[in-house]
Amino acid sequence: MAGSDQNELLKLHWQSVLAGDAQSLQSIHTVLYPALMRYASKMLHDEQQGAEAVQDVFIKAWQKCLSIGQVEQVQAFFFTLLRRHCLNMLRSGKKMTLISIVGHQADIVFSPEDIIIHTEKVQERQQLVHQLLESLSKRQKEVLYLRFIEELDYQEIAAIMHINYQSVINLSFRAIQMLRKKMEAKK
Amino acid sequence: MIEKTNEKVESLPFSWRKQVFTNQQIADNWRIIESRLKEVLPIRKVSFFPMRYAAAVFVGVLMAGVIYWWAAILDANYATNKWTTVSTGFGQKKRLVLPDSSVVMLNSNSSLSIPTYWNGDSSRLVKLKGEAFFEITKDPHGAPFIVHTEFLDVKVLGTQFNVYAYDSLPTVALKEGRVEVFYASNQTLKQLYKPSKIELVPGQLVTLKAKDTVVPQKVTTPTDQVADWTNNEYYFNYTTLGEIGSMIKNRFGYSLEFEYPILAERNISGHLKAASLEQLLEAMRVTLGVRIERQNDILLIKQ
Repeated sequence: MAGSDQNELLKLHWQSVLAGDAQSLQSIHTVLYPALMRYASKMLHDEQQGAEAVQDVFIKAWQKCLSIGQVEQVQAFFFTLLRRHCLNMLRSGKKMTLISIVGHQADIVFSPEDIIIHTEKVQERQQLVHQLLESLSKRQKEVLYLRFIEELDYQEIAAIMHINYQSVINLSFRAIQMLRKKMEAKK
Repeated sequence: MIEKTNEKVESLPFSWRKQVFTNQQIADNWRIIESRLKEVLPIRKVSFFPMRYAAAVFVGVLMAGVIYWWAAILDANYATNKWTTVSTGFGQKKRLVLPDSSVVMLNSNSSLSIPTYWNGDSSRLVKLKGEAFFEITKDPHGAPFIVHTEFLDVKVLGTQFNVYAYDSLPTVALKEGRVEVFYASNQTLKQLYKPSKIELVPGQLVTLKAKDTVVPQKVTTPTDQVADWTNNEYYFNYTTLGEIGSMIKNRFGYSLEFEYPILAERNISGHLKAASLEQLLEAMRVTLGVRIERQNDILLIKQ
């Protein structure tokens, strides 16, 4: 699988980072930046903040690399750092009321531009798909995002979102099923 | 399972699109990271040059300055080391990770200074103005961690504790571990006396009334209430409005004034979460049934 080759390469880069080589960190950055940047922008609903979040995560990784040690799944590791960082940014920006507890889930918003439609009636269908995607729960949206746009496997998603493997499969399966049903119905 | 889902995906009349980035964009972003990496405290020992330079200066100081013996040990550090300072404005908080992996949460209107050339084996002394919560890594081979503030010094072996040092009524609260708090028991004759020491165990908070003669007062505080500000939580235990006013002045920069002096004696007990000054004031308004008017940076409390 191309994914595990890439991971082996990233692992080697990370080992150089542990030895003090900043250039290897740049190599990791070149490989992972697009995916991390997309994810952060989606979580924070802002590209500028997304860029800042990615920068912060690389700085953090550099500072703490010795206490982190070896990393098995490099991409998932950076995603996890990024997710936590984005949630913290969201949490500190949010206003808390006296009693409420801030939820630990960011809201990914799919835009019509994220979807490519294969039929002629593009406008209508895009709107429909957009509506259907927006009607999914926050967790379903995040799982679909990580699965189909970032193409991560279920185990990585489980690690990043802190839910178990079975839940990831269930969320993904039910979401797709529901989307399919509704789209067939509208045909 | 994965194959099945892929089939279902193909039967959908749409696919997913992802935003792409050019090599130029990736390189630009790395440039920003790179420049920040330079400012970040190096996590490994720096090249030998500063060490040799520092050694030469130290020998010079020994030969010249016997009179300033015990103060000079601290001052030699200040003279030969450059300091990197991180500060926060009103209503701002920052989280720092030091080169020895210790974590410091810096509260509003505060500043923390760290030796630019960090050498964890010879000195882990930092300077604090304001308030911070420390989680210090144990380092049996390294130097003890010392927090220096205007009126007290805290010596640590590896613990979690909060230092509130905005004004002349500093406090230290210990969450976990053990610390020793050093202070000059006589402020006016500070230079002549060896510092006094008080030891804390978890759950203790010590306040220094720093006037002519310093008298420390110890109280117990539940450990999960130590540094409640890091979670935007406030624990009040018959805390008077006067005391709250002083805390608001230090952390947010607003002075509290009272329509009638007796209002300052009213107190609140309880626990609340407030992410901003507005929320805290709202809670106070509702709990005490007072009106709060804001004029520039003065908050007037009325009946």
